[in-house]
Amino acid sequence: MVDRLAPIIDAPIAGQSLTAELGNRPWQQPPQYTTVEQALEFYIPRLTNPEMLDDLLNVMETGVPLTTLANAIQSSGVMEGKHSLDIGILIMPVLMETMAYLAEESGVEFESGTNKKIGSDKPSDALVASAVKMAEKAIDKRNNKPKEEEQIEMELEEPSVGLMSRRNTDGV
Amino acid sequence: MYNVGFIAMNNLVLPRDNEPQKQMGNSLLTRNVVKDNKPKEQDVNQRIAKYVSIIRKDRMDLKNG
Repeated sequence: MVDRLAPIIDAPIAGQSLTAELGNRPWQQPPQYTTVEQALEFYIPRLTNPEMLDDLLNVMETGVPLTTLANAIQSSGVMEGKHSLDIGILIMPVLMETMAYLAEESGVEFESGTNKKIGSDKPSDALVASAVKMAEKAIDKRNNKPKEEEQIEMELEEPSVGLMSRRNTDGV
Repeated sequence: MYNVGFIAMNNLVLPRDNEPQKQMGNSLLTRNVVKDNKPKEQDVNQRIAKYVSIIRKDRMDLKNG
């Protein structure tokens, strides 16, 4: 059983990313592929490579969603300095669709990861907070409404019937 | 967790099929406008959407036989 209270000792030390000389890491260099087409020309042959395809299909069969796989693939490309993070995120849908095509072609069932789960219709905390705020406003408005009506009634005075008072349109 | 792939895929606006072009009459009073059929340079999102739609169409063809 995993002890959640145990400290994580394999995590990077704070500031570890600053220990290397600036520009030594591949992602700190200009990317090798600067357009989505160049990046896709790099990835698509790799995905369709029979050696990699077998491993990819095995992973897909285990139920790992395509979103996670595509994210891992593009993240590794960013870390290797192949392309920028922007290009990686842009090409993710194409990578996912390609993997889905390859899975369909091989008859492998896969999890796309783009469909909402059945139990995921629970409203978020932000939505609940917003609804509560709106309800409070509506209650306040309802409570304040009679006062406004009273004020309006106060403003409406009875018409005077003296000799010098303005006549009504009816001539009375 | 923040699922980048989910957001990237769901925010993609796939291109619609091209509507059939209306046939203009050849009479003298028809408007004399020459449409340029040159492909316009597309935004990167549109290009990605186009690639996805092409692969998806092939996948659906494969699925439906």
